[in-house]
Order: sequence, then structure tokens, then C-alpha cells
Amino acid sequence: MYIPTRYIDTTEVEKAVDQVIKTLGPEVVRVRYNVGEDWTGDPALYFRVVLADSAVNVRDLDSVGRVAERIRRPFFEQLQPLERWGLFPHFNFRTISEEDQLKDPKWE
Amino acid sequence: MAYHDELLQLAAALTNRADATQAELRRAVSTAYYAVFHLLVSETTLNWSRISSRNALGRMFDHGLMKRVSDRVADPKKMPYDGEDPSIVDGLRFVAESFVELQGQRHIADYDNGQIWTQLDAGVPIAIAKTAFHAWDQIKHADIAQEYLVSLLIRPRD
Repeated sequence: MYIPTRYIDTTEVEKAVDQVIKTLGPEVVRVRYNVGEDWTGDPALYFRVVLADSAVNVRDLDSVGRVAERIRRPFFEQLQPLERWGLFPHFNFRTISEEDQLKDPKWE
Repeated sequence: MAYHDELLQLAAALTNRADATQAELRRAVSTAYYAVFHLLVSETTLNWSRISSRNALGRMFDHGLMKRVSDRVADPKKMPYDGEDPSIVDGLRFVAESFVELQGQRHIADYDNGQIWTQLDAGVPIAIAKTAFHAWDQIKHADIAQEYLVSLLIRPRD
């Protein structure tokens, strides 16, 4: 079911997202997010997660997978964005070292 | 080695250098999606008994329909799967979630030149694809998994 983003109570979404962010471990330096639309026009949540360098070995896909899943899972199970607002959560990750080199305002 | 396995291996190889270029990282993200796409296509067409027709059948898959179906399967409110084995349901939801996530990342990697990819950012979709392969292997014989495959191919009647 298509729900235009203008009909989503973003204040309610932000409040719920912030609650989940508070439960994340110290490996997470910060999380930035926004409500947007995916390539089909469906509303979606876009998370940008900055991790401590010590949290993950970027050359080891098993380590990458474990850390990413540990952070993604609460956003599916506690936040339940699909059930509550029809928002699919998408995630992008950087280490703090990677972000320090890029200085991307959307991630700061 | 099956084509989807080769794609997953290629995606991993493209990201395993600290100095990987943006082109390599973008190709890796896109390839991780296509690894899962072709895994699901292959698993579906395996059910077609006439082997010579399987490739033609595989050409019928529509990325948008597959996304809509996977969105629905990932949503416990729309597809509660009451009475099913919870571990099978969890595995199926993970595959469906992974498909939607990887497809979204693939579109960004292929078309949004404004996004810069890092080794970690490109590594996550590959790790997700790898876990989705494993999850699918654990559940593929279950009826709900096979029903998911059928729904990926057949547009529902309006």
C-alpha cells in the first residue's frame, strides 16, 4: 500500500527512532536518519550509522555482517517501522575514520 | 559453481582492498543484489521440470514485483504466518528483508553518483547477501518458502 510521506507523522517516527537509538551499544558513535522515498516511490527510512573503528574489521565480512545485524535488528523488531508506518528501514554504515576523511554533512 | 555463487564471490573480491575504487565498490554493491536476485530466480525455475525452458522462465521476473512481494513478506502485520515454525518464518523474513535492502542499495550504487561508498558501507550489503544465502539454504524446502518463490513470479489478480 502506497503511503505518501506527507501523511506520515514524522514526529511520532522520530520519537520512536530516538528511543531505539538510545538502546544501541557504545560501538555506535552516532546515527543520522531521514524519511525519504525509495526507487519505486514508496516511503522508507534511511539510516546512516557511524561506528567506532574498534567495532568492526572492515576486511572481514563475517565481522561486518555480525555488527551490521546487531544494529539493524532492533530497528526491525523494536521500532517495527513496516508494521506501524509502512516504512522499510535502509542502512548505510561508515567507520568514524572513514567519515572523518569524507566529512559528509549528512553523516555529521 | 552456480552463477549466483559466482556473483557473491565476485562482490566480496571487489571490496577486499582498502584502496578499492568507487567503481569497484559500486559494482560490488550492485553485484551483491544480483547474487540474491539470481539465487531466487534459480530456486524458482528449478521447480520447472522442463530444463530447456528454465532460462526463458527466469527472464520473466520483474524487480518491482519482487520488491512488493518481499516488502509484504517482511511485514508481520501483512503476513503473520500463524502456526508456522518460527525459525522458518524468521529465515524467510530475513531473505525478504535482505532482498528489499539490497535492491535499494543497488539503485543508489548504480544511479546516485552523489553517494560516496566506503569499504564498510559496501561490505555490509555483501555480508547481508551472504547471510541471506545461508538463511535460504536452511528454509528452502518449507512450503512458505516455496510459496514465496511462486509469488515473486506471478502477478496477483487485481
